[in-house]
Amino acid sequence: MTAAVNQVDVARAAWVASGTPELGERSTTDRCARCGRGEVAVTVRATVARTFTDFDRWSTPSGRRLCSGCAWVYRTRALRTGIHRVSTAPTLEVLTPTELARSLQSPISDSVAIVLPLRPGRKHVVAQARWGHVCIEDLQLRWTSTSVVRLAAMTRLRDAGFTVRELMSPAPTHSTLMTLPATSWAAVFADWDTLGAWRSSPSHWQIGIRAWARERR
Amino acid sequence: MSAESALVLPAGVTAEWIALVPELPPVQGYGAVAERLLLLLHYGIDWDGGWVREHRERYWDRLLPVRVRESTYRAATLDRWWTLVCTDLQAAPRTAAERLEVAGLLRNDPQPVLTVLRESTEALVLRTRIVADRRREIRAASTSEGEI
Repeated sequence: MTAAVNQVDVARAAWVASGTPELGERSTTDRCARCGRGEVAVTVRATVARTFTDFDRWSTPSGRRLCSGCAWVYRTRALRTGIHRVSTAPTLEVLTPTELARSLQSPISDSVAIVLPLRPGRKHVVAQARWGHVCIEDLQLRWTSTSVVRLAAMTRLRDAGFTVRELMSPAPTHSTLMTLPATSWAAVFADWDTLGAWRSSPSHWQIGIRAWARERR
Repeated sequence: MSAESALVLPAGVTAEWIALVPELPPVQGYGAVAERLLLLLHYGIDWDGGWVREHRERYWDRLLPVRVRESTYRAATLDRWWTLVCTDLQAAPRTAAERLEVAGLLRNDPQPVLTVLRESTEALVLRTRIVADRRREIRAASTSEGEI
């Protein structure tokens, strides 16, 4: 790949990693409305729904044609339903919730993007994805060492038996706390406080909920 | 912080009660004032004659936190807050030592104490409940153990 890595966005990388599937006959008579490359293959009309509104991020919002790479990202349903990890290598992998949890155990580097549709099938997520971020519908979040610490706290509390609903409370549920050894209470309280910031951030909260390895001990 | 150095935390019975649960990590600052006031409030409740007796099941999860929090919205001073909750829950400190400790705690700067009572109600009520659980366990163990 001679193209500069920084110019390859997440969507393009996902397309290349999938073998650059061509969706139509390539023509160089026009520029892609989304990425601006001098190659087009399909019309916008045949690719996105009438209700699509995300044109403002496109290089030419009023353009009529798309390249195969951009069109593929919009047309491929699996990209809207599954959890994906894209890298600049480029690679595209589907992740299980356990693999998602593992990926989020360290900060996300600038050569990786995690795509996590919270409501599978409803919106395009890969098309707006950014390197170094966890990408959910309409939002891309940096995943820093602070995020890692908070996720670890959430994971420990869930492993200890607290339900997601209980975790939203400002304090641990008494009945669940009593099932745990008293020597662990200080750690439970500390983890509970650590989660405080996420209680008021629905996006982080939802990501945390999904990133839990469901192995039962 | 100068406000924190004016913290009034009289030596009292609540310290002994809290010490029964060494696993409970200590709270600092105005949280400690709030914690002690809640303990004294809880132990002052008239469980025999008061209306709270009829609502035991909801006491910890609803009654106590809601009343504690709501009264912080209606009080600008700690004296007023204490009067409101005690009247509401039919509570009064039982011993001279408890009364003395309450009087000391109520001399604190009201703003920070009311704020922590309002914003950390569930956490404070949980601590009160844990102390109450432990005291009850200890009482039960000592009455069952070798009564001659």
